[in-house]
Amino acid sequence: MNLSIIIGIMLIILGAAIFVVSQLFLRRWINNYNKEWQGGIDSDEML
Amino acid sequence: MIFNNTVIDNTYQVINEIGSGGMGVVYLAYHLRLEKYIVLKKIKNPHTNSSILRNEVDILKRLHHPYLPQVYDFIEYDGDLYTVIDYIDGYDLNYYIKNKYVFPESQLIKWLVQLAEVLCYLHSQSPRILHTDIKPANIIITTSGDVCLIDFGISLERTDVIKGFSESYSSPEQYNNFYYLKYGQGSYVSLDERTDIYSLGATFYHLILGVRPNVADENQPGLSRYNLPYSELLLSIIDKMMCRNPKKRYRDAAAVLKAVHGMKKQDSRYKVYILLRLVSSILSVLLIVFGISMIINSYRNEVASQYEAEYNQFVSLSNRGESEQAVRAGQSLLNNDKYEKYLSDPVKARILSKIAEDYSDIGNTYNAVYYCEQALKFEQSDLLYRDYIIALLNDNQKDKAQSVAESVCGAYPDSPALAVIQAKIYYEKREYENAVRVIDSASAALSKDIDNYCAAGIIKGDALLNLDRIDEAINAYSDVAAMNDSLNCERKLGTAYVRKAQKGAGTSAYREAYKCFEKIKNNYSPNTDDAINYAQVCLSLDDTSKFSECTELLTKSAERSEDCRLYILLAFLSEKSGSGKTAEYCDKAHKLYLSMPESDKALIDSDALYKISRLYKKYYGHEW
Repeated sequence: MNLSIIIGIMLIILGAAIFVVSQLFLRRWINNYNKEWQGGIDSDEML
Repeated sequence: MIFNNTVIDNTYQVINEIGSGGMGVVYLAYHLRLEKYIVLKKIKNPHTNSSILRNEVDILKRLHHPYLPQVYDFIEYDGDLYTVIDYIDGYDLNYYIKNKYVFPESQLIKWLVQLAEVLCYLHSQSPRILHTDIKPANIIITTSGDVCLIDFGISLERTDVIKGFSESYSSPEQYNNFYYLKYGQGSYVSLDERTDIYSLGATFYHLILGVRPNVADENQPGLSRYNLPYSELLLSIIDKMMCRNPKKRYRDAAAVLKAVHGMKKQDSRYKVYILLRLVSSILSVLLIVFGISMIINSYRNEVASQYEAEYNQFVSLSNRGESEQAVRAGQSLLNNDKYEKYLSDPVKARILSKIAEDYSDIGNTYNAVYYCEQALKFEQSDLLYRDYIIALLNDNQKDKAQSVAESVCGAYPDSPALAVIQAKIYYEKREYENAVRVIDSASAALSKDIDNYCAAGIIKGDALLNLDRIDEAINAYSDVAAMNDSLNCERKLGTAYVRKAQKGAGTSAYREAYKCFEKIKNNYSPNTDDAINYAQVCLSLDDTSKFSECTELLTKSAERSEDCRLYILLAFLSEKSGSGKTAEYCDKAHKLYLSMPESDKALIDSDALYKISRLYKKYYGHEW
């Protein structure tokens, strides 16, 4: 297996890893963001 | 008045009075069947038609929304009318305003969204339900932190009732209608969803600023004019909800919801999120695509390299005279699907033509003709037709060669290959003089085309040799050798020098012949005839230093083919060098000679035959 193929495989793995990690991170962030917009204060604070 | 612990309708046990609403007294009670707390709300106006009220309550009973209290029933007790509603535990917004609570923007947005949702629900009912009395006192914050919009029970679309008028929170059109109905001032305007939108906006105005809005004040500044710890977007939404001109307000609660949801997307953090998502997606895709293209390119390059290597090897084998291996290599090239892309029609024609040439070198004239025909299927040129006709002639298909030649003449009238074909046909007919003449007359055209020049030179040399004009034949072959160093040419030249030597030219001719065969031995893969010629020349020159080399060459050839001539020469070499194997070689030669067909026996030189029979008799005592 020559060097080009190895580099190609590594690039594919890297691309996939970046995609997966970034999606996980961004999804967690957007969920927290949406929760923030839905309101986050503890109702006990108000009573 | 209802006393505590009174049970109404065997269902509702009154606990205590909890207040007076806009329309009447409110009691906390316990629903004995449902086992939950409910509210009994007395309807204040005793003159209201009870059947009308019942209709209204029936409509309200059908409403089910998480931010609306459930209306259960409508009862009459002691001459009074009551609605039975869910008890909502919590404080209304007035409580929080009075206690100067400051809420974070996210909390305000959450409540605004919930209230807009419930307004959407009410406004979409049939008939449409307008609240008309939205104010902080009518919004309860439950123990779970959500809103509950209350006091909408008299909110159906009716024009003769002054409903829910609150100076601070009513819309300008409600305000005007109030004065019209009460004092006859101004004109009546029918209300729509925008009235609730205004009231909701006014409620949030009070919640944010801590100051009641004043609908009578036409110059009341909007929230955006104040330095508040909230985003411009939120404040601008509230201000738009409170536009005095209904046409400039949000047209309905759905538009308010859309605006609020849009806020989410205006946040700079959200924009960064979108950008990051885009960048990471693009980066991932680029890396993957680049990786895939690298792999594909690498594979393609590898295939291209393999093809080039195999093609070069095929050509090399063919040029070195390793014809059988060259044929296999060429066939492997053509049959390999991976190389389909590189095997254009002209390339295929070239390979097939070379395979035909190799088959011709091996002596397989049938396959040589077949491969020439295959080559012509992919490309048609005068050169390929020339080789095809030569192959037909070599395969003794003279008539077919003639007819192909005639058709080719018409297609390629000025082709130098034509001269070669014509010369070849004359040669095959043994009209050697004509063959030489045709080539000489086309010499100018042939000199411009190396391929045809060499082919013509070989034919001319062969013809001259047959005419016994050996020196001219040698010149013809030498001219070809000078243009194109090929195995075939060296063989022809070597053979011509041997003939010259045999004609009495002496040692010098043998030396020239020796040079040719030495070159064949060193640069190409010598076949049986090459080995025989080389050995014969060495014997003629009596060069004993070469005898062992000759013996080795002949022995190798003998391993490939049992040729009588090989053993004859081996016997001579052994006799001269004294290797002691003469008798063995003589015996082998004798056996092979006896098994040879008569036609092949004629190929053996008579002088050599005489010498071997004498040698045989010497060792075996009887005649050959």
